[in-house]
Amino acid sequence: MFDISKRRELLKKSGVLALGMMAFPAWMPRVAFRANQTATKNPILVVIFMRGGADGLNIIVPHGDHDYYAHRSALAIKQPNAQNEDSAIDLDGYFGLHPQLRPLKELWDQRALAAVHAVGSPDPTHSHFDAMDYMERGTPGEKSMQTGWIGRHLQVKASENKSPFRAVGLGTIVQQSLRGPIPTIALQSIADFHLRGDKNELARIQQTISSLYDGSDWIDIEGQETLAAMDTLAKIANQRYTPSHGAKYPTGYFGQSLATLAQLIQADMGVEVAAVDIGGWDTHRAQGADDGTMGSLLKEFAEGLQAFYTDMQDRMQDITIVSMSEFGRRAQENSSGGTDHGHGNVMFVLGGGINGGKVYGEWPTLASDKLYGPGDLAVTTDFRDVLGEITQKRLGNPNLAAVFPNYTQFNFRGIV
Amino acid sequence: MSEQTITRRSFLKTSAWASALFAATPFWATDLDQPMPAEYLSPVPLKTPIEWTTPADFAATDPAVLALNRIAFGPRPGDVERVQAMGIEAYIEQQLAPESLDDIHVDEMLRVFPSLTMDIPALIQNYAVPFMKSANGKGKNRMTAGGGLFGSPDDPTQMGGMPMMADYRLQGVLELVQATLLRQVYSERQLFELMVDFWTNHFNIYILKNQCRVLKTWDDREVIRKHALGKFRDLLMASAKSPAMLIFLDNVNNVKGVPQENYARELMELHTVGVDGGYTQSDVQNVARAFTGWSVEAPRRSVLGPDYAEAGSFLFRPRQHDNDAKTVLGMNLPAGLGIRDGEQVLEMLAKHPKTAQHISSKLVQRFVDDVPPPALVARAADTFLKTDGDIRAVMSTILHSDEFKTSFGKKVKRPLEFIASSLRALDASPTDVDLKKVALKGALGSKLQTRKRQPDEPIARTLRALGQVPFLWPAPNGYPDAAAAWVNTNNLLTRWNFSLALTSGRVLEFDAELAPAAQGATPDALVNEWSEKILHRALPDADRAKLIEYVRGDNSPDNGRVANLVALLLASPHFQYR
Repeated sequence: MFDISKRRELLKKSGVLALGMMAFPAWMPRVAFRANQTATKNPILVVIFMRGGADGLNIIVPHGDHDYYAHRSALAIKQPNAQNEDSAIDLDGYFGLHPQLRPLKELWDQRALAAVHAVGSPDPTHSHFDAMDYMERGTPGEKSMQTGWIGRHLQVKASENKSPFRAVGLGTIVQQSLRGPIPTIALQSIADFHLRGDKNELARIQQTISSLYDGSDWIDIEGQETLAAMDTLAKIANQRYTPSHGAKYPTGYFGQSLATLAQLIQADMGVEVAAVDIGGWDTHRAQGADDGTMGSLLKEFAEGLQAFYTDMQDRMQDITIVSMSEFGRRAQENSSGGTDHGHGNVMFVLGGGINGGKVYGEWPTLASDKLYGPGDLAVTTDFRDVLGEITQKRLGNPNLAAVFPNYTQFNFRGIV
Repeated sequence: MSEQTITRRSFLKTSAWASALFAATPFWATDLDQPMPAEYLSPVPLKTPIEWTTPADFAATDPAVLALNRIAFGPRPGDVERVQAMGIEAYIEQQLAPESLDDIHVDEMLRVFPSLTMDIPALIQNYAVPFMKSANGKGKNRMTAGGGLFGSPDDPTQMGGMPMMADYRLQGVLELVQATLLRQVYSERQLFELMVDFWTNHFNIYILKNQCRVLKTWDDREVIRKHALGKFRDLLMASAKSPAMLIFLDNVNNVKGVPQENYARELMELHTVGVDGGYTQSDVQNVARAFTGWSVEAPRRSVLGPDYAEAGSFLFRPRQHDNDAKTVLGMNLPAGLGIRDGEQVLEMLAKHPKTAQHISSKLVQRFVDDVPPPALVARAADTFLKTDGDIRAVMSTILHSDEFKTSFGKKVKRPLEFIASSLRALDASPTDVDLKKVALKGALGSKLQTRKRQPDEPIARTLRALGQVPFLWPAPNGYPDAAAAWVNTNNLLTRWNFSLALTSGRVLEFDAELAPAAQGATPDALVNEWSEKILHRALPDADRAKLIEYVRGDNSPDNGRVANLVALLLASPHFQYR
């Protein structure tokens, strides 16, 4: 098993790190610096949903594609320029990072972070709700499946994990992707997850509530889950969480969600999958280029991921983080300084055991005749290829037919 | 109105509400209006099927109790007897005619929220401008990139840069949110308030988006409340011209040559025909073109000057309107129609059979069953079409139906309903945290009380934890309406904690005084008395036994054991159903 903290030392010594920072053209084969990891014994999956349709074209910037600049006179991120820190951070000579994603560059250079571009759903819908539904159910075009892809994964994977925290949704409403027969915890704050009242009677009150919720209706099952979670969390609730290795989570909902999740994992609560949301990406107007609305969101996103990675680095061989959004945004900027709903987008994959430092997928280009529909980036990789590869190779679940029904032509990209 | 901070009475601590609202970071959730089925569709057989069954004790529930839980936010003491005496049908008819019910107490309460009755210029003058002046004493506006409340004076389509949350005071928002909660708890026109809640979500506007902070108050009064039981066509037309809606769905930026599709899409997908309404992407684009130029008036001079009288009102800008011919859902709109383009689209959508179906289905889901019975939906849709979209008539069809009468246990309370029904069940009254103000308490006929112990649970925090602060759902589809969305660990624990807080006097804004136990009352008697008062039906024997056992062992002083017993009843699964 690689120890990530020692990697940089190894890479530095061999001079490879310096090499990796030069601009390499996209066609040059990437050398895999990590052995292809088989699934670990206790894999943990963290799924981050960027809600609203994040603008992938300004996240992983195709600065080598001249049509990008033709489509976006106001919103384009400038080509990489060492003197200008508002310009794209070059990754491989063709693609670059949005400058506000600077905290992720180090993870990229360490090969812990990969990106997939022009990835998404085959369904053409531009409706947020439908697109999210399809992605979270894992069945584009189909709404009959009442379970989510992660819910089905948990269901079919043989496991002795009986922890109430096996599946955690950060927030007040359980994410659709987690829905399934394995009960899920909706959690906002560890410190608050207990009954508050007269100390003398609280134990008996809790006991009575437990007996009131002992039926077999669905509401009873949720009640029992709640009480089980309360008991488990009681063990760590009084400890003030100090992130490891000096990690600092950004304030705000996203950062705090990740910090809560980190605390649960560090306390060995048995977390196996977690869903985290970050919203606000529906930038129809005043999107901003290197800064502004989207820039601020990206900064929060990057700082959150970097903090989590730093905090959890001793466990990263078990953890895989994947980000997605329901669709990307149109190549052409609109008249309000923003972008409308699009199609192809970016996914990030972060963790131990992935072949990072590369932009995966086939770039269709932004030439007019290569755009999809009303002018969107085309999709050349199905999102299920990415999630399927993670599910099989990192989570050790080969039963992809159950996780992604009606999808058989998986085309793994070698991200894991 | 003076430009200074509006000093006004509030029984709800402004800072607690403000912190709740500031901290309520928007999040997106999927459209969870699909109910949980009895079995999951899965290729792998389940070991433990989770079934959504109606609890057995609901079979014996009195129809009056059902009515008060569905057509009202739960019964107050005495309500069940009153409805039993007048009969269900009469009660339904009375609630369908809210204008016949007077609401003096609520009107008195709401006088402390001046924004509720203001027109747009007054709202801007009193709830936006004073703050902007104070934000930068020099009078220069540094809040928006565009340079004004409505952007650059020379470019009215540019609605300014993104608002910085901390720069806008939320006074108007706080008033509207508090007023909404008060109305749900105290209004006599309960069905009307439920309809307002329904349409608010149906035509959802995220109140914290830009100028919606002051303009949603106008929308709430002139669009939603005005037409909640009226004609759907009028409601739709009013919504389409509502400045808050035009801003929320970006139609103010929908101009000739570069149409902005957001409003056009949601108009069809959410407001009228529904996602299966049969419209194409081309229809969306043409509808967008039909609504080009539907905008909001911006001041010609600096917003801090005298000429903002018309600012914020609906304005059709002919030069921004795409006057070319267009076809929408098979309807031809010839060239040169101007504002009639959009109006004709609305008229067509308002009477479209798919609209009737979509609205009826949502209403049946809201009032009857998470899985709307198709026959009832069909009858309601039929009424819709026959009465040209008369909402009152559609509700009459739904509420007088057999399906409604036999739908015990089919709906679960959403957070707002849980809170409101708890307050009503205990006949809670608003506290007066500012002891200098007396009239509010006087309006309700209760004595002013001095709180000795500091309450620690602002209701705003509870609502935020439960995920349903009014007007803070950020997506156009409104708060979800199926049990699946709300019954989860976080929600249950928060409800349990609210129950404990309310009964022990720890809710900041409301006082629920529980009648002390009679001398020598046995645990049996107490459990019978209070389960009747809270649930209005017999508890299953097993649960009754558990509660009796609890009371027997509770050693709390004073009325503590009654308080804990009532908390347990509010926390029980039985009280979660509507």
